[in-house]
Amino acid sequence: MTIYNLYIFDREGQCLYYDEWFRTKQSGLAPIQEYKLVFGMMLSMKSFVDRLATNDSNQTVNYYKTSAYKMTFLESATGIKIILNTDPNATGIRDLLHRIYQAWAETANSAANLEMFAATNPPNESFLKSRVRDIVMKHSAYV
Amino acid sequence: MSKAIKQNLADSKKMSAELFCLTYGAMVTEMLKDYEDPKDVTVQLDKMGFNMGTRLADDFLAKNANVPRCVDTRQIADVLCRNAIPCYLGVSATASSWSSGDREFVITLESNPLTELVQVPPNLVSAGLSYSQMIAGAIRGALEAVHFKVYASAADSGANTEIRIRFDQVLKDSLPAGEDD
Repeated sequence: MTIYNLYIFDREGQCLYYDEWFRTKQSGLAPIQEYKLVFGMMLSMKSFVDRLATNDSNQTVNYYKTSAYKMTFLESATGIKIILNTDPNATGIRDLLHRIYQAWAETANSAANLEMFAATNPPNESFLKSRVRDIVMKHSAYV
Repeated sequence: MSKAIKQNLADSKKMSAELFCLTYGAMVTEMLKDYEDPKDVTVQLDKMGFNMGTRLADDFLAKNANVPRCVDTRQIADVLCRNAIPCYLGVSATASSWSSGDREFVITLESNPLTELVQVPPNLVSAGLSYSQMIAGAIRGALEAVHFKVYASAADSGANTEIRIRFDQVLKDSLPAGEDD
């Protein structure tokens, strides 16, 4: 099994983080275009499922799956979206996404990052990268 | 000061209540000197709390995976009193005085760590200083981060601190510009 790549978006659709592991084929798009496409697809999917919902309960989109890969979504209540592509048979991915969210939240709010009460600040890139890689590579679905 | 607090929260370490209380008091005193009007100090404390709250929301959600998505104000009050306030202030809180069709309620902090060693001069209170407004601001900020717009104000009465919260509306996620083409 394999973990392919990871996107983290903020609530405005800005890609905060991207990383990849065993991605052998690129989309052929400029990275920024690809991020837009992924984020846009997720938004459309959300409005699509809301439109076709059969009752009023609060629902979330969890993943979509093809014969070649599975794209798992996690959206926090604050609007942070974490999207991970894995092997279609990978298990325990939701849990992994939650741990990535935890790492992101801690890094984004760490003291080193806080410019006295500034409203927005990008998380410390390289520190986040090393933490996320650590979490992903230790997961059972990796390799 | 906030850096120290955030650092401690991020590392889930406890910080001395006295030190916290004294540094907060020193900061408010300094602000009272800087802004002549105590009302402005309240506004600033609220803003500082708001910015803390927007960040704490993510931290809180990351640490509490099993908190359900709130659908009404009673649930919001419940999560605030049972999870959020004990987690960040280390004190218990209760929600009461529901009014205007559950849109307004009061959260009572049984012992507010900010006011533990503090006596706020009555003339400043009557001039508009709300000493614990930072807590109210943080609640407002955190709820706004999860798409609930509320108004919050704090009032100290003896050892208790009352935070009055009025629910305004549920905010919608706006589509990013140029995303619909």
